[in-house]
Amino acid sequence: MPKALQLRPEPVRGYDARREGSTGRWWGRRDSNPHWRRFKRPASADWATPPETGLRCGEVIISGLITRLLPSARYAEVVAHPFTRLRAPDDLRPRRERRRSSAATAFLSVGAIALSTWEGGLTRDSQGAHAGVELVGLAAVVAMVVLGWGRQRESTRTWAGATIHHVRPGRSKASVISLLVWGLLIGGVIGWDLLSFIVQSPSFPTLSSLVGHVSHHPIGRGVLFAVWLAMGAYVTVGGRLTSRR
Amino acid sequence: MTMLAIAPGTVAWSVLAAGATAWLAVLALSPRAHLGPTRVVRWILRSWFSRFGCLVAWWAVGWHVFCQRP
Repeated sequence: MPKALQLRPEPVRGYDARREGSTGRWWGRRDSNPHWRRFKRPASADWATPPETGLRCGEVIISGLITRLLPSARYAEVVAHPFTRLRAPDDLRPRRERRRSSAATAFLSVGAIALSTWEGGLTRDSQGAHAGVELVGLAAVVAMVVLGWGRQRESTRTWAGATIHHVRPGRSKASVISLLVWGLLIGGVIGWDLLSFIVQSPSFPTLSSLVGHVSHHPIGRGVLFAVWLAMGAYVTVGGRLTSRR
Repeated sequence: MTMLAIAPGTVAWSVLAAGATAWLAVLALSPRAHLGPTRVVRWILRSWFSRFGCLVAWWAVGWHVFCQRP
């Protein structure tokens, strides 16, 4: 049987060595447990035995036959077990594809630096600045749809459901504290910016006017534009699945 | 004696910036139980709707900074 088709061994639930009459298989004992100090079993776990596949945690199983029949299997299958701590598998794409990806990244980076340098020399009223921002926005939307088709992780409905589930009462203390601090910081920034905008006084600068101190200079404007492009690139292509569904 | 005049608005922005820095430091030093910025961004990018909303906000910020600010 190909290795990829082998199911990982199920942990023995409720294993009782005394009932089996074999004290040597009782993994809880230090002298008979070959995995002593190598793995930490959570106190809440209801299994008793470690995996016996001979594979290390996070190791990828690939079968030649499966790879030929199902190209998508190249990116899969990672051994998962309560003992293992999963890590992202290495980049398993073919060499040519990786080279093409690196070349595209380098080309786009050079283009982004050139565009930022050009944009740094413009002013807010120039036609070029307006056209540049409009075209970048349009390109981002097109790239988001073309590159992300079939690679989005969740449907909007699933995402909304999961979000509602996540913010429901009864979450852990750390989650509640995190949500409170994030809410306080984001609410504070938006609220204070709004207040400063309403007051319209030099004593109460808006966030926009603070950024204006930087974007006033060509270098600052160019650097801000480069940062803005990088953020847009991540929003456009980041967090996607590696292959289409 | 010369005193540097600091606008109250600047003080408020400084407090918010210090708070954000302290929170990011806490997130960097604490275990993964807390909700860090990476997880927030990944959460936003999980669906089409939130990703598109984020892109619109990003474009609006860009338009304001590069076409309306000096």
